[in-house]
Amino acid sequence: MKLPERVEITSHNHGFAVDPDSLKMSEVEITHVNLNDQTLEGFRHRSEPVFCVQYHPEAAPGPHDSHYLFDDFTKLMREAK
Amino acid sequence: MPRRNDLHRILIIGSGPIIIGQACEFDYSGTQAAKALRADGFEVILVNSNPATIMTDPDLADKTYVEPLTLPYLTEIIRRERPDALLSTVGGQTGLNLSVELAEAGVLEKYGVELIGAKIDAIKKAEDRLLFKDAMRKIGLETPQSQLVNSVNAGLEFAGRIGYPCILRASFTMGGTGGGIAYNKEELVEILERGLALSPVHEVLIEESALGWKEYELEVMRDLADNCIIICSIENFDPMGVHTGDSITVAPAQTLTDREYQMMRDGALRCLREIGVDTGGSNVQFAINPANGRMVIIEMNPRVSRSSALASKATGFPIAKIAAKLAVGYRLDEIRNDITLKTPACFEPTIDYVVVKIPKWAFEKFPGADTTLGTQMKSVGEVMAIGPHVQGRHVEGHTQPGDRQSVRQREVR
Repeated sequence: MKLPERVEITSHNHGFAVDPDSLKMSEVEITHVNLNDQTLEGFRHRSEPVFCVQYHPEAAPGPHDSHYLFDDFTKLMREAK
Repeated sequence: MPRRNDLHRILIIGSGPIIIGQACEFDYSGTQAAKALRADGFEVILVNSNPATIMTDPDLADKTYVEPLTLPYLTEIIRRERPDALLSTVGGQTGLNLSVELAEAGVLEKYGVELIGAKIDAIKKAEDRLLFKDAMRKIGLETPQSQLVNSVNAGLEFAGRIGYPCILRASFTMGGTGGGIAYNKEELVEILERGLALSPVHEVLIEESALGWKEYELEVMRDLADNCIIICSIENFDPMGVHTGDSITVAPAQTLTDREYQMMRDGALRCLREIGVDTGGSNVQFAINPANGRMVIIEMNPRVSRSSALASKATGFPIAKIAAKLAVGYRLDEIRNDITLKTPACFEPTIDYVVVKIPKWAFEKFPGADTTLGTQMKSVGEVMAIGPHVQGRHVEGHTQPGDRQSVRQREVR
């Protein structure tokens, strides 16, 4: 899958990462990649309403570039109701 | 969106003679841009009326014209050279104004020259006071309150509501005649009566004054894919009312909470998108009323500015160089970070040190000049100091060799 060309500035802090190769044949697809070291930052399920990111979209102090994730999440909840 | 291959020859307009308020920082930005574009295989045509600049050195551009920076000369150069594009944002206000003139005179259209960096609509929206106000209202950013009045009574009523001091500007008069700052009722009546009499349409704009408020600037960049980043926040030590060029400034901003800073960051990004600067660096200025925390946006420069030079040096992020690359199509994540040489330039520098800029004046060379600092820039140079804390940098900045001004005049009025 081709990732969108948008960049988010985020707060993040993690010592582990999922090996992207391990997801190749799985039911999830990669949605976010860290540009600095190419580690996997987020993926979503291809058919189920499940997505995740490994950085902190909610963090303060920190920028608000990832607030759209909360909209996406509430939208999924509304659709699943 | 990689490099555009439909552009080959790019025209850069320099900023002309060195004057107070427009000095070598624009030689620096133009030179950086020319180098970046040539390194990428573009042909650079350069025009500057000032031969005492680095950018006019023989090796920096493919063709260099040392000619007056006026519409007829620029038109002739464009007719001869037929550039594909004009980079409007790296030659200071002079370069920007000339780009607008060339566009409005139809010269760019006639010879098929594309304006890159900032388009004409974006420049106008940013530079025209009323268009800017409207645009900011649309995206929910506050600007200083203002109203056009046609009578002294209406003026008194409005000023009573926004409080003193307030700023008056008579409509359609030249060079600020009929305007002024009113600190009380009596002064308001006096200035307003004069302004109404002088204005051919009998109209005066009264504006809330942000004099004495805290002043901040954010250096922002945007690419064609709409990625936006903040390069640096700068806080003015001197309040609103003292020109930024005459103010001690500190980077990063020191007295904002994260909430306030993020509010400002969000506002700056919304502003950049609404004004529509396609690519490159811009500078957005905010003021915060220390009495109640109210934040207003003051202005936006859709070009590489004096503060960009400072922000570049403070952070190591080469704003002008990257602005030039963004203008020819690259995205921020496609450009390499100049410091790490590995990671992309799409990042926000986080600095764990402070940078203090202290202006230098040469009042001793201008006997009789008014040494009070105000809204017109008077400094002729500056000192920058980098270190772990603000106080130490002040000491260093103030003890530079050749500094004979032990007492700084910082009275606003």
